[in-house]
Amino acid sequence: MKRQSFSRAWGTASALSLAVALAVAAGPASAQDRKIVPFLTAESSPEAVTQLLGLIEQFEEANPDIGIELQLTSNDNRGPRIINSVSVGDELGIFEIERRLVPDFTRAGYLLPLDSIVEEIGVDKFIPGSLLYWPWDGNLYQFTSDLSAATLYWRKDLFEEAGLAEPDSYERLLEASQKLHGQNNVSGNAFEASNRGGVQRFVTFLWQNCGDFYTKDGEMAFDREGTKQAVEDYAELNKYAPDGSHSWGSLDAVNAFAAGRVAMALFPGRLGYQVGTKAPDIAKVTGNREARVARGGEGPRVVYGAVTSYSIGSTVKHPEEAKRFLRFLFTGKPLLDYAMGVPGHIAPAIKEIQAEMLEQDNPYIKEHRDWVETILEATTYFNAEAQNMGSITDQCEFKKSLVPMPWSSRVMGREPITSKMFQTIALEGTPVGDAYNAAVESFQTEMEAWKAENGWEAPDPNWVPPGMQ
Amino acid sequence: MHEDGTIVTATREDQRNIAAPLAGPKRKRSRRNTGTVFGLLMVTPALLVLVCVMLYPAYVALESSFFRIALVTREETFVGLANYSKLLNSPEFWASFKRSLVWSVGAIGSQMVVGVAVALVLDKMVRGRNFIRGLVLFPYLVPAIVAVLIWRWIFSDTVGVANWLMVDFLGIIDRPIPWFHPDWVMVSVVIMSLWKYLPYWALFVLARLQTLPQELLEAAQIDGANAWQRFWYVTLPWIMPVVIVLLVLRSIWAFNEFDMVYLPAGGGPLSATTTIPVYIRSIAFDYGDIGHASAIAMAMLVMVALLTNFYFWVYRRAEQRLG
Repeated sequence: MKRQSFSRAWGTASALSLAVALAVAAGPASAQDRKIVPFLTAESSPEAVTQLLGLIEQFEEANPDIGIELQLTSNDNRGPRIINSVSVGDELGIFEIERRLVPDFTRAGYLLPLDSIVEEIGVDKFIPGSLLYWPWDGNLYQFTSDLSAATLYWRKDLFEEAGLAEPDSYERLLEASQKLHGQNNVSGNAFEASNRGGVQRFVTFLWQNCGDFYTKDGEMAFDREGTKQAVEDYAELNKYAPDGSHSWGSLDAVNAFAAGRVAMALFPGRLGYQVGTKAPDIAKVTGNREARVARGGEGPRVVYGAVTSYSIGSTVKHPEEAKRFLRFLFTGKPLLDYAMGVPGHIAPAIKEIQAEMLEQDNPYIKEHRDWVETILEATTYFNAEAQNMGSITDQCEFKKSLVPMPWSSRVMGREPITSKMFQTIALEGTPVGDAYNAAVESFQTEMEAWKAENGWEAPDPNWVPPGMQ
Repeated sequence: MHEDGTIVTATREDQRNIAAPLAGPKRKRSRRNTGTVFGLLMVTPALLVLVCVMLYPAYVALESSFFRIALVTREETFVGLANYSKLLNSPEFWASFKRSLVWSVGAIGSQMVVGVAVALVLDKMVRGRNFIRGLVLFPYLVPAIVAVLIWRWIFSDTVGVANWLMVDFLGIIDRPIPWFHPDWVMVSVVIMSLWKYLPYWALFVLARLQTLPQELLEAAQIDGANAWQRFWYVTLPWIMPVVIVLLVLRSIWAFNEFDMVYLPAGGGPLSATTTIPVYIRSIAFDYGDIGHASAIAMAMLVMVALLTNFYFWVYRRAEQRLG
């Protein structure tokens, strides 16, 4: 191309680009006037994201003056992203926030109180303990959308073949793991010692054995009687998990179960949905029940679970519009539709929506209604490790404290203390007692270091959150 | 130069006197000035980008390394050199540094050897070279997260293809390899990185190989050099400048690499893949200690600068050897 023709082409292209840019900027008047609310979520399931997009469209149709800007992030990246946003003064609209960040965010005034949304709906409509009220001032800074709770999946065919009874206690879990491990290319269980599993699978053992990490006053509890028992039991079961399970990612247990490579797995609803929809042959021979993992099936009724909740940043440009969208999305039909994206994996926090879910014309629910019922039931007694510090009392009762563990990222961050403990036992042959003692010391050191740097004042011990009187 | 061999140097005054009668009319000088202004204008955007994107963040990191900074509220307390002292006394930092070296040497070494080998093969191929070249480029186009997901699947202990292939199908080993065991995980990560960055090496080396004068090889052959000697004495010195440039670039990237190291195993198990960048992330976001994380980042900057200087020294020597 000659220089002149190039210049002419370049000039035409520039003029066209300018014209397009001006046209876009001018746009229809209504688009210019729209109030845009950013919405950041770590929801990763394609089904759930599709469902969200559909619901956003519905909301925008009903509220043409409001636009919702969906921003996706990963669980690992969510915290850094939120922190970066506030540090550069970026607008934080609706976003999922880790409980550990809430103390600093509330102290700095970065969060809007959301009590008014719950008051409009009625606190009694929610599953008790699902709303994360802030124990220090009694306000609600996180609005709960959904819950998840772990249940135990086991291969009924393999159990029957080996003459094993339903796994309803530690002894039966161990017997089944020992008998089934190595048979037909199957590992005894998926009680993994991965960074994630070493916390999320283990805590059910910890709590049902009357143990905990800390008390709700922020004092040490990992040295409590029962905790060591839980550690010994989990380490013993871990011997029958697949060899490489110490470095599993979040969905490897699901994949292993769906591929028929493990005989048991303790996992939230995603496993059931994945197996039920993607591996129907395995699903037909799978049982699902409440997890009872302490010796003799004793101990408080509590399992691992999680709360998905959303906050609104105080820098949001349109707070009322943001609240309106939050209320729209996580109540009524939209919440039901959202939960039906991955039934069981997303358990609504509102009781009547849970009941409606079971009546839906959905192939997974029709085929595995009993699984979904078990999971929904488990959302009434689930616990979250970093959200309810000291929920297991000295008397071995389970009472949600709603006191977050502010130093959780130090003890459960990239390489959680309990995961490291199980990994040293499994991979380096460290005696259980030594690994446990090292873990107790680490829990103590990290907690003291955090308190020394940040200061700590326990909340009023007599405070009872709304809906839990 | 004088006839006796001494060198005569012109003073600035002399230069001005000599230049004066040669200087053109004023119009020419103003055109030259306009040219200088235009040149400066052209450079300004790049300079601005350099200052905003590189120098300013580097300055902020340096400044942060002398403070204790609250992660969320950004409250700052001056702590002097405390963050550097903590760094020097931290066994975890030195362990991460060691792992960074192992990772960088493993990744770069394997990529260099296999990359050069692939380039040699591609250079000899007559048919389908363009097609294969396109195919070889594919892994480089795949985003790191996708590459890692693919390889995690391949190396999975329960449903992975790698072990099935070697144990059940080919029968070359008796027991499956625990790819994510602390003893093996760095090897696995290096293999993933090799797959992803091999094209980068292969294509650059191939481009250089294609400029190698065939007469040199023919002369060596006539002199009785065998294939290995032709490679060692002719081909290798020819591609060496490119190899060294690639070594410099890839070493800097590998030392700073986060995604390809972090994504496969999250820094574990038992910290086996916690290199310095992974360690920095943990200190910054798990421990909320931005100041300490900045101090580590500054230490890393110094290390990379030293490494780069060393490479350039080797590069100059290689260039000199080639004449």
